[in-house]
Amino acid sequence: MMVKAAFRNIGVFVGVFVIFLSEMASAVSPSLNNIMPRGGQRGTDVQVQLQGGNLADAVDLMFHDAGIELVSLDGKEGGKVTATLRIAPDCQLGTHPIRIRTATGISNLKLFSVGNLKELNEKEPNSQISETQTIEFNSTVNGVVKNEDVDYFSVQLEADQRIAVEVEALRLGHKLFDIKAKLFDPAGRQMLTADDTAMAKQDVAFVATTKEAGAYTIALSEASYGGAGNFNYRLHIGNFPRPLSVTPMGGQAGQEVTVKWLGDPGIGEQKIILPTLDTSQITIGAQSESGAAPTESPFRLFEFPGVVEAEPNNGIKDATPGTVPGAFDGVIGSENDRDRFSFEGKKGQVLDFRVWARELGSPLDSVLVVFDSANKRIASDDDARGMDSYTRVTLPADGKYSILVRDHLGQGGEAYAYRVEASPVSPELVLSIPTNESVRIAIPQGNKVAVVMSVVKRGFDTPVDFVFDNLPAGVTAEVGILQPGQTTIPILFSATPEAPIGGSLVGISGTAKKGETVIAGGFRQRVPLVYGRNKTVHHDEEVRRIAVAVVEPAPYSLAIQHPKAPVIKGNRKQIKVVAQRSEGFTAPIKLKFPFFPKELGGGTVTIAEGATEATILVEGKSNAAAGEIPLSVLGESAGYVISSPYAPIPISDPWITVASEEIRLDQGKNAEVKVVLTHATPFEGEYEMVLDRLPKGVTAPRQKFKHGTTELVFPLTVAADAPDGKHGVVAFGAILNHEGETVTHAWTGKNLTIFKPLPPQLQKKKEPEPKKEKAVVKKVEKPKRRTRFPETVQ
Amino acid sequence: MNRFISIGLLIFMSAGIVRAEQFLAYPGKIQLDNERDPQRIVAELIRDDGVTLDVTSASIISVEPKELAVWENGALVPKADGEGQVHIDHDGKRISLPLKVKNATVNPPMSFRNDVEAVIMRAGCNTGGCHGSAQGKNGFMLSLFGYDPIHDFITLTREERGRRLNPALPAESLMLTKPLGEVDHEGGIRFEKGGLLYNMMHRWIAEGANEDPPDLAHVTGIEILPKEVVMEGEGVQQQMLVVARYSDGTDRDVTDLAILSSVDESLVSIDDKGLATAGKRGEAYLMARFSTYAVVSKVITIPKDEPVLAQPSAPANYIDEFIYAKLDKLRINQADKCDDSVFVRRAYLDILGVLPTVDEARTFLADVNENKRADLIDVLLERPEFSELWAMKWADVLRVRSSLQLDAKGMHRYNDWLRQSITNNTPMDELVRELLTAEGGNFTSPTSNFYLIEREPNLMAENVAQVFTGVRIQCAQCHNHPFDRWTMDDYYSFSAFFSQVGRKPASDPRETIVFDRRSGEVKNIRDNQVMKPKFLGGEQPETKNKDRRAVLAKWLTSPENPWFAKNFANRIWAHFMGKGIIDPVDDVRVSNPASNPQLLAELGKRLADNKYDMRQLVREICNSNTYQASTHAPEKSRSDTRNFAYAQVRRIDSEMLLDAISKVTDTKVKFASLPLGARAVQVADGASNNYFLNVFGRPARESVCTCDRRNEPTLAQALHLINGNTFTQAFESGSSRITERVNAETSIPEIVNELYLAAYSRTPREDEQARMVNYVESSEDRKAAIEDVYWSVLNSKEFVFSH
Repeated sequence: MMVKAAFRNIGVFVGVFVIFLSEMASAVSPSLNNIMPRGGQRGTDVQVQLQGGNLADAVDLMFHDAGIELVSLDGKEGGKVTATLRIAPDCQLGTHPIRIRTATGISNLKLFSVGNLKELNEKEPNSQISETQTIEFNSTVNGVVKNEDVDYFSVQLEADQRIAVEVEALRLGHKLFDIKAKLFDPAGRQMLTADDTAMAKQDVAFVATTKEAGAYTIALSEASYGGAGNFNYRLHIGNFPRPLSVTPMGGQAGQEVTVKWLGDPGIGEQKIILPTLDTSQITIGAQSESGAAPTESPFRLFEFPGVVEAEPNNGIKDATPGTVPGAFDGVIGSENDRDRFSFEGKKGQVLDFRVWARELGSPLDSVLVVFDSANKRIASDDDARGMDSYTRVTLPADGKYSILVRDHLGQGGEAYAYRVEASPVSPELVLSIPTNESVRIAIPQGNKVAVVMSVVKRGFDTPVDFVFDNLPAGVTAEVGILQPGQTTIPILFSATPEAPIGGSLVGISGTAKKGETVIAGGFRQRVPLVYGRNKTVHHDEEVRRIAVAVVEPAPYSLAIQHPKAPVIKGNRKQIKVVAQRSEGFTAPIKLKFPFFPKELGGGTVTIAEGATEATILVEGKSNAAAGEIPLSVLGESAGYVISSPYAPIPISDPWITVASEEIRLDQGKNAEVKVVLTHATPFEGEYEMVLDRLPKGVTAPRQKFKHGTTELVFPLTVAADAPDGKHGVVAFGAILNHEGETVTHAWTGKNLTIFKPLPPQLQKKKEPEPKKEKAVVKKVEKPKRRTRFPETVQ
Repeated sequence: MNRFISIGLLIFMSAGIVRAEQFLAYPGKIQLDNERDPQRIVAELIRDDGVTLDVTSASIISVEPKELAVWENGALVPKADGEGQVHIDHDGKRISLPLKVKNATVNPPMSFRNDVEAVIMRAGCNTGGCHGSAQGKNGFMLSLFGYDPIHDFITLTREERGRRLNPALPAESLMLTKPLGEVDHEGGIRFEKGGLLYNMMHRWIAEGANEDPPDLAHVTGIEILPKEVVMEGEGVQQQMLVVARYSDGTDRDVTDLAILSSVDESLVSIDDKGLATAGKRGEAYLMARFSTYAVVSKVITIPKDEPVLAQPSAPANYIDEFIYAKLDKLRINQADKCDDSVFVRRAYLDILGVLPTVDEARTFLADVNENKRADLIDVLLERPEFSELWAMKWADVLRVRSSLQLDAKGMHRYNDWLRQSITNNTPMDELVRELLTAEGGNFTSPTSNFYLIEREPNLMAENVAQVFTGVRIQCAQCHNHPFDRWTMDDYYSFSAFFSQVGRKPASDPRETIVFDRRSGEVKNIRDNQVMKPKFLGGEQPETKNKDRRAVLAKWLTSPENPWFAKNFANRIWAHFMGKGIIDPVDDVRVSNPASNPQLLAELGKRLADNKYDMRQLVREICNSNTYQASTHAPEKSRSDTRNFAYAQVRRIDSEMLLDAISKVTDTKVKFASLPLGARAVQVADGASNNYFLNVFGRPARESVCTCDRRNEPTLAQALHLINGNTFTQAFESGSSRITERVNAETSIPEIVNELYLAAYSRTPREDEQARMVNYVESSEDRKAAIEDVYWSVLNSKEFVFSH
């Protein structure tokens, strides 16, 4: 039965190269669904409730950023944990990713927002303008917009007073919560409506000035009148600076830069000393006498110097001069404004021009045009990088070139800042883990877990060395060799049985050499947090470290039994996986391969309840080279996800090949099929060959052969009711018992067709033809007829 | 150019003006361009009461100088080249028409486009049921109504050569033997041997079935004359003329070749020689189709010797003057003004989409001010419900609904914009320009949603034509419009205005940015030619380096556009009167003419002159006697359905009906994305679901057609009103008016009185009051009895209908 099953469909088998992710549904792995409240004031201790699943054995919180520490974890239940957080007075404002670590796993990542103002809570009823909630100016309100809810808050203000508002909703990373705000003056007249703001995505940010003294009311609702019990927001209201953009939007690493905040008349310039270059992007926060902006702004760090536009620079004649490689900063300050920069270029110089605008929170929808010295357009782009522009240009000659930046729809305004970075094309290495979840690896003590890493190599294809930083005690990471052309690689994390329960955020970096150039790259992962329709990501968070933890032992471990017989290229083989179960652990174990090297493919299988082994299908790719390939299998059972150690899998060229003819059969008439064998590798024992994929009603017994057999004949029995017609190709499979294992070969045969006998009427008409054939048999009678002719003549 | 010459005024402004008898002759000038270009002449006498008389045969027609032409068999036949005059004398009156004769002895060869195609069309060969069908008939396929003459020429001359056409023996050609019936022809006999059609086809074949020279003149327009006829007495006859004009300046009497028809044979019929015969009283249209053109002439038929009836009151404004003038022609009069309770209910429903409250109705009925109706109209026009009602009506035709392509947020922004625009009284032309030139993300620029709801240029063009001009050009996507002027070239060159609309994703994945791509063309599917943008029935503008949509928007809303203002005015009119002057309002075509074109023109003109101030037009309409007329038609007016002699009884639109039920029963209904107790009119999303609204014909907003809103009664509607959950919920809801009244122990007469005011805006008659009170008092279960009273009122026609 097994043999038959193994050969079925072999003729059309196509190996599927699939990367299975380590993110399996886990009963043990904790989950974090909610942090309430969603944020706290810096410089204070805040008690928060963490809601989720499997939290009863919570041990610690993991903070991806500095500035928050855990004071205590209390009230642990399966669904919630109370944590006291200490937020440093200098903690960066805005959201911070947090995970919860338990004795058995690590949770997904959620955001916690740190503010600068006194924290308040929304108090219902405040859903009518008549029952508005009075709040203090310069405070942060934690509120929720339930379905079709409107929240009204009022603040008492003087005449000519500045009022800054920022709301965090979508950016809290919980729900697709598109918040909208309306501001009413003391007479109840609507002063403004604020919906989306480029710097705050779908969240709200604005600055206004009052006319008269009195109670000003702000109304918050979901933009499509939606909402739910978990549509939480944080409303910051006060006189803090709330710029909408900044210029320049980046600076040279390690240098001091003076930035000008845009879109808020209350603040002006600010001097910032930039860190040295270990990342290309940081955030900077606007500060003024009246406070700090509730969230920070992204800011580019660049290796090369930059220039800021000097208006007027709309035309080629008054282009602002700059240099390449280098950066060009400016603001499309009004409608139909266009900014030109010039630079000297060399023939053959290859430059990447990348506009940074919308991605850094500017409202600009950039269009970039590159002109040569004759002011002829040589490249242009609108939206190659989201809504930002990018183009690669090879300069055709020495000379003075220029670039132009404008808004796609000719819009402009004081916050329409941009930065163009012209960088030389250099090799780049980016490491990430291809998953749509946040990456977290929980290794049971004394066990292993494999994860697949994506390696993007731009501009080179040489081997990469990987270094792991800050692995938990007792944990090692094993990385395979990245072959040329390969873009994924497995990492096998192992924890010794003695490794203490603990966790850390691990950095992974890679280095490669291209000639004398050393290419270094690190791990980056955009963790999606908020999804919209069709799984489109509305908000994510970049992390640069993966969460790794040593957790309590798993009740089982796995090992692949080294196969004695090889996998024949283009064929499949069952290999044995053995599970070592703890006493009393009988749950079924689902097996799959987390990663296939390019030589192999395979299937999935489950070790049955109570069983300790199972065979799993491995397929040798027909283009694989012969040799031994390491393979690890991943198991999942009762929420425990672990991997086996690597086992070398032998791959061999075919030992034998077969050739056969097309098969044409008549219903009810038995026939024979001949097979010609060619031998490549000698073998001991007897092969058993099966003719498979035969239609219903056609049978053929198995045939045995030994080394040296060159021809086999399968006698076919064809039933009278075997369906007629073309049945497609047949398949041949041969199986040899080799040291207690099987060596299997399979080949695709030729087409098989079954013919129906002709209907009786037609048969009669065509009788003369069969008679001719029969004539050969009845030759004896014919002469008689022939002899009659001369007789009659006589 | 042939234009009729009139002596005196043709247009009668109002019933009050004394009109002189007029003597007219058609066509206005006579141009005979070759030997086979005779011209009919029709002389007409318009009596002072507006009745027209065909006096051609009673007139003497003479030519000066005589040798230029002769009057033979009712037509002027050219004899010699030259210029002169034609005199028409009747009863001491004379009209002289200028005469020009050219090529009097030249008989030009038959042309395929101008002659043979006309024969084919007149004989009916290329109709949809015959060889004009998409598959042709019996292996012979012609383009529908000759929209593709090149195809037809090839079909005739290149297929089955020697059988269809046989220049050697023309009479043997199938094109002659089949229509004569000499050979079996499923389509029957189409030609008469020796008749005009036969002779023309025969001659063309005999001449070699030649291709037309490339510079051949083409038809640029046709005219049917007289354009308006008032026929008195059954059986009275009137000769009609059809004149075609050509691109080389020539004209031709094509009365024999055009297809002539009447929209209502019982009112007026027309024979193939153009002779119309009057039937019973009414108003009908005679249509002539020739080449790609269709034109109509309006015919009013009245019984003999019937006097003009006095209208019940003096015209309240210009609207009544136009309406009365028309009613006078028909010899019918308008219904009396409706009473105050009917008016107050009608005005609230039409202007605001809500019923007056009990107090509002009481106050109005008790008001003794003479101007109270005008005052009420002014007050209602300033209420926010007006904007909400019109936002809903525009949202219907602009197809405001969320979908996979349009996120709910975009839909809400679009709806908010519509409502805000109407609240601000944004002029309609400005609103349309904003829509058509929309640019930017659909969340920040709500008008961009216009280009996201429909993305295909052809469909965009169809929608824009239908919504903003009322013209349906859909037919012309595949063939020239059979009953209108639109050709495939018109269709695709109009569609070209929308071929450069660009769309790209914004940073919010739900949002799309609309922009002008400045590239992209539309091709005519017939010949794959790139079509340059061309206004519907207008010129081909310069669009290079311009946003084509802006060019279109400017033309569409300009005074040069013959439809825009009229279309808006007509849509507004139809809302208040229950019927458009052109009806349906979005089916403007030659063969569906306005019932009162002068009024429509005036409404459009005033709307445009008042900077498209919709409220002002509504004010004028609502203040007219015509709007305030009762639904009870005077006997003679009952047969009239087009001229607003009386008010229409209309089923209240689904949203307003549900709101009315909620209001009368004081029940709050929950709609998605709206707080409890909001009105159905405020529902922004056409895709939202509500059983009551669906059953009562709320449009799903899947097309721009006003026909999507259904007001016909259905069984489901009746059953729902009888025992659906709308009433059961209202009866069970603790906060409803009924429960309150039952619990408050209000007196039965008071309850009935209040219910009548709430539902009908009137107090009950004594017999009604007595019956209701008697019923409740004789019932054991007071609550159930009061519910029954409510139920019977809310199920009554008087409630469900606006009257």
